[in-house]
Amino acid sequence: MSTTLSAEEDLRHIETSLDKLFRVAMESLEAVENALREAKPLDLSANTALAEHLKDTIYTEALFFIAKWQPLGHELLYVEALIKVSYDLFRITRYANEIALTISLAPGTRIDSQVVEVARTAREMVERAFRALLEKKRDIAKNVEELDAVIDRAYRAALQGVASKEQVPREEALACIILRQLERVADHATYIAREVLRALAPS
Amino acid sequence: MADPRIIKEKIFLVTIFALTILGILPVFHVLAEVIIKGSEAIAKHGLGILTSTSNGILASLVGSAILSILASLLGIPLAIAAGLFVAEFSDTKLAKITRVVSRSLLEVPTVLLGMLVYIIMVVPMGSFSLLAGAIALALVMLPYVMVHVEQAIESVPPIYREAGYSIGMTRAEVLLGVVAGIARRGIATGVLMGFAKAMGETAPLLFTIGAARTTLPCSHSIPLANVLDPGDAVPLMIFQYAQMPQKMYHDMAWAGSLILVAAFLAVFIAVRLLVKEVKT
Amino acid sequence: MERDAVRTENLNVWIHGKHVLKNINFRAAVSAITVIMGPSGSGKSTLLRSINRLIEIVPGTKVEGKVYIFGRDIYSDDPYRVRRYVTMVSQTPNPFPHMSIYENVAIGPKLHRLVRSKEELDKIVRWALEKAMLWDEVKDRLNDPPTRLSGGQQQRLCLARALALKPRILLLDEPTANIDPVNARKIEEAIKMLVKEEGITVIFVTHTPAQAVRVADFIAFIYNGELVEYGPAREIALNPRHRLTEMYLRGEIG
Repeated sequence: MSTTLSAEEDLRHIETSLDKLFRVAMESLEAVENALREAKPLDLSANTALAEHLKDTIYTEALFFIAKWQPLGHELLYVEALIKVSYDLFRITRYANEIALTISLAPGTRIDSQVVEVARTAREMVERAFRALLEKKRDIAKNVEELDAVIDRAYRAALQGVASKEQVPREEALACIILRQLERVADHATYIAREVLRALAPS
Repeated sequence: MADPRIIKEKIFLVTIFALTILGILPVFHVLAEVIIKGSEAIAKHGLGILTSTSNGILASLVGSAILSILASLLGIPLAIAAGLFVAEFSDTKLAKITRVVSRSLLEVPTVLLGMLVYIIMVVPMGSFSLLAGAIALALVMLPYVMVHVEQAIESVPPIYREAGYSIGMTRAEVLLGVVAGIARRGIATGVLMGFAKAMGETAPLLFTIGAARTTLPCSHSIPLANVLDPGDAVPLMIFQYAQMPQKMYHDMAWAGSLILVAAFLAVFIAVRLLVKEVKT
Repeated sequence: MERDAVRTENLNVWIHGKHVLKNINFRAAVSAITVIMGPSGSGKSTLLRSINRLIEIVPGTKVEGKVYIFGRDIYSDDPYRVRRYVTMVSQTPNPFPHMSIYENVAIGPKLHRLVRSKEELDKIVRWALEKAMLWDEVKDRLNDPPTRLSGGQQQRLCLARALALKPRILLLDEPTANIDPVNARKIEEAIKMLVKEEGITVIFVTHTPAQAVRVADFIAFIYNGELVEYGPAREIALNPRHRLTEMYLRGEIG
């Protein structure tokens, strides 16, 4: 443990941990994209374990920050946001892990390239939302919510496709399940964006 | 109808004010009397009343100067040292004894101190001397200055001692550099009161200096040895001349009083100006 | 190298027959802030003062046990020497009122002959005042008496006076208890800076849990003369093991 000089310095520490968690989530999503494109099996259990550990660390750090500096106003909201976002990033890593499991159950199955496209969009949403948080930019966050609608539509269309058929080919069923996970990822990206809008002081 | 509380308050303030005036009025009366009578005497007889040994009080003035300086040299360092010791080592046996002895000394009539010096010094040496007078005066000053020093030291809040010790000062450094420094005005005031007391005391000199009113103490070739000569002092001169029937003696007594009062004022003002007060 | 700057071994203190510290095994890590936290009368100031042997200036004090500073038993050393590298700031601002602002800071290095020239002394005074975050406020009035400063400034002057000896350990006895919150924060910040930049070891006494958690790297909780719990600030704040600590943090005892 090292002596910190100010509340700001302690906040930077938490943000650094959160950034690590963010990188884990991004790495997982990128790996998922590649696996989908190349129809290759994937194991993300190590990333998930790391993400959980980072999330717990951030919880403790943030709690201690509140005890130590007794923040008020937007500083308090911001710390709360850091806690919530760490949970979102952990969940996102978990969903990436779920997708990896799904892909690995049926190795070699070609998934529609549109799904890869959705995966890319979901990853971008997470990236934008997180950047909005650290750079404290509300306008970037607004953008994320619009993208969420695109992903929702893709998932709904796939679901309808599956629901309207007597028999569903394996690729289509897998694609639908994967889209459902990606839709959850996009939801968490949206939560992050909303957190940004809620916690950041209007400038 | 005015509030009785306000009327009471007014009465209270007026009473306090009137009593204060009543209290300081005699002081001003004495001062005015001395200044007027003293200046009249000097105007009537010229400066010779101050500078002559035959028709003036020169011997008394010189004697008083020597006595107060000599008594201070003997008494003040001892008094300061004892005061510091008693205040700093207040829980030791020696300090407790010193404190009791000094308080008793304070209560002893000063004429007895003169007698004491007469018995242990004047009789064995076979002659009155300024030195004997100075020792008697030093004995008068000693407990007086000591109590002042002690109280000045004790009034310094303990947080300053702690501050001194907190940065590695030794006990002596804390006592002399910090506590005595903060108490310097109190100590200076004590010293000054002691000096003034030495200038003004009469009784200890009755049996010690010999009231040599017409000769200056200069029978020895070594200047310092002249303190072994008999001499005179202004208060003693006033005391004795005031009882004479002749007007000339009264005038000399008044002139002496004026000089004495002027000397008091000068010393008090000088110390007030020289020693800055320490605000805590 | 010894990891602990200060370590006590079964330290017991009696003041006028009253058992004030009971079997204390306390330690303070090098270059960190260790807070001694506890209600008034718990013995925390006594513990602090046994580290620089200042308790000995009060008559009727009996000390048993050992206090090691960088591995050395200070009770077999010269107390005045110990207090040169373990300096202290008291609860009430107590700059020497008969000295100037400059002299207050210069007195330590001058007495202990840490400097050889006026230039060196000037440099050390400036350094100490800067570290105490007071230099900018007093640089044009170094010859003023300290009584012209506000209470908070006076306390920072005391900090500078303690720093001028370049101590390895700094003891602080509720240094912000008697000053306003803005000055209190300044002092906290200055102290953290000292630990970070100069590697000084700080032992800080406070009776408010909030301040303890805010400044501490490690917290020792003292209650009724006993060391109830000791640990990293985070552990004490989020996961105290002892029920008394928990109650104290919640403000239920004190």
